Amino acid sequence: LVQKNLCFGAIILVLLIVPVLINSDYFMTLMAEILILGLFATSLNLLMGYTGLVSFGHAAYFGIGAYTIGLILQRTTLPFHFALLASFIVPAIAGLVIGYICVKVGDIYFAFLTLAFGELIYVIIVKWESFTNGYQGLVGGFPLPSLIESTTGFYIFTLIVVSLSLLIQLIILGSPFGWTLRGIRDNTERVDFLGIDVKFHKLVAFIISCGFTGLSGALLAVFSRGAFPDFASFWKNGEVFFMILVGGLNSFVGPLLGAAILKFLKTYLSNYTIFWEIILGSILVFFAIFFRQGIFPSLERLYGHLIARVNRYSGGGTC
Amino acid sequence: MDLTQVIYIFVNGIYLGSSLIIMTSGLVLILGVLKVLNFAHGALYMLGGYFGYTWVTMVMHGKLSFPVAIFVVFVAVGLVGIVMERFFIKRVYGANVLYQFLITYGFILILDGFVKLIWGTRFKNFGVPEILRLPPVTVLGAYIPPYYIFTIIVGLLVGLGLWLMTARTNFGKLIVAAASDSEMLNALGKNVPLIYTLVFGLGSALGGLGGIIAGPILSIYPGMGSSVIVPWFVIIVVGGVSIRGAIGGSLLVGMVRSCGSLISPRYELAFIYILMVIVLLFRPTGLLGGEKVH
Repeated sequence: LVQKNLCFGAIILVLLIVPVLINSDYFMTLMAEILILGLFATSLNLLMGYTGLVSFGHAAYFGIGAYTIGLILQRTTLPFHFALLASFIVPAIAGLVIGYICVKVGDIYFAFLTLAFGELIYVIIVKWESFTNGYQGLVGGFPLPSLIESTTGFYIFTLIVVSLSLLIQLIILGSPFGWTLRGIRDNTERVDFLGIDVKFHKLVAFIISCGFTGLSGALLAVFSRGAFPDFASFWKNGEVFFMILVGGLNSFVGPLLGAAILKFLKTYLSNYTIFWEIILGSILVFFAIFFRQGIFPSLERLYGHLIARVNRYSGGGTC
Repeated sequence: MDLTQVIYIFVNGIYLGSSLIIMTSGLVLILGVLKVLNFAHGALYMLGGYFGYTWVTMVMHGKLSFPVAIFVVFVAVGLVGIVMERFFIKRVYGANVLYQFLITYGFILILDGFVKLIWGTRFKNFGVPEILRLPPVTVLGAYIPPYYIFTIIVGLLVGLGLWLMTARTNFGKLIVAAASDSEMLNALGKNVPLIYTLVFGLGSALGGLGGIIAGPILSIYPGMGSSVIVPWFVIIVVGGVSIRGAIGGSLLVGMVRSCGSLISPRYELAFIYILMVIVLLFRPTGLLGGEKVH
């Protein structure tokens, strides 16, 4: 798994360098946002696609990450790398506390319970004005290291952080721990009978997912030079569901692809037509009815067919 | 705290609870019978508000305008629901809740888009209808707006009506049967898809009714559905998936919000989420039972 995806990763990485080479600020901004939302989507997919747990309140950890880095940079003189690290650790700790309670209940209740905690965090972010500045959000910019002030600098920085995070996630998923998670997804009872502590594995997966989600939130905060309550709202979570489901629930690259598709659709449709919401909604309805596996698995199958056909014609049968 | 204040809080709680009964009973009905969590219920509620606005401000004036509007909105939003179910929603029955989310989220976007096209993005308000512009009622020194009383009556009528329907009428019994074992009902020769369509239509109509009843008090705007749907889930969880669950859950949540706004107006909403967490941990099927959510 790691090797196959690394191969993909290398190709994508090369493609991602292109905006830097042609030095297009527009593309670098666009791609940076896609990468950030893509990291959010893969982090949630770690839970949804690989562990079989649906969290309706994941945007809360995205928000916590964003506010952590924002508050540290605005209110203290601590260095940037410390703030970035904290924006992984603080959401992970929140995930530990909340996840500890949530993994006790069955799947659909898990979804509702994460929703309840997520909304609770959202309400706190909006209402605790002296700490978070309420509806307005943390505005006024952050002091940033000079290296990432420029668009190019930030783009490369985002590229590095996201690639490393994805690599770590891939390694986790390729490890025995990762396979246990898939086992829990496919047959919880059997894994339980094998003497494996299901709740503990779910909790660890939840914590890891929350940490990376927070990190992506921190990146978006730096990207937009502010942290806003909207980051933590239920509808942010909904957008990420869109990315995961359209891209492909049971694939690693799918959610990234989904993030790119959503961003492109939103940018281009809303530029060209006032009907963009209606079109976007129709696409969702179409996917939910006719195309449940998502785009990436279908592409993969198509690729498999092509390889098989090429092999047949060339007489080679090594696959 | 004097008596007047207690009455205010109590009446406000009942008022909030009654409006929630109207808004959420359709959502719970659809979830209980069709096992579909309809995220677009808020969008149907919004549609009810806009249809009502158009009727009251453009189509018909005078004392009878509002009562007729209620009827018109109920039927119109019900028809929208029937179209949604017949062509789209029925294809995700039994599917993972995520795909139900995807399709109903799609409808939120579609309906929001249409509302923006037709009515624009500005906030609308149609004010308390002429027929209900009466002097406030005084109870032990507390002034109660007549519109509150009207909402409470409508809420109780909706609750009572649904309860009578499921307990006494043939159609109601079919709905209950479809909720517990649709295959058996099908085998008995009943037209289950038709029952499902009618239930979805009825649920949508109730959502629309919630919209027009709330319209004179709250503003209506595109996207208003998305801001209310998440607190509605609290009622589903707290009450449980059943008609009495929706009624009891709505009244309890209304009362908690009313009391919460006295303790700390700022964190009023936080109280209901804490209530939701407590119920999920200790009684996951909801306080008033109903069956397990699938």
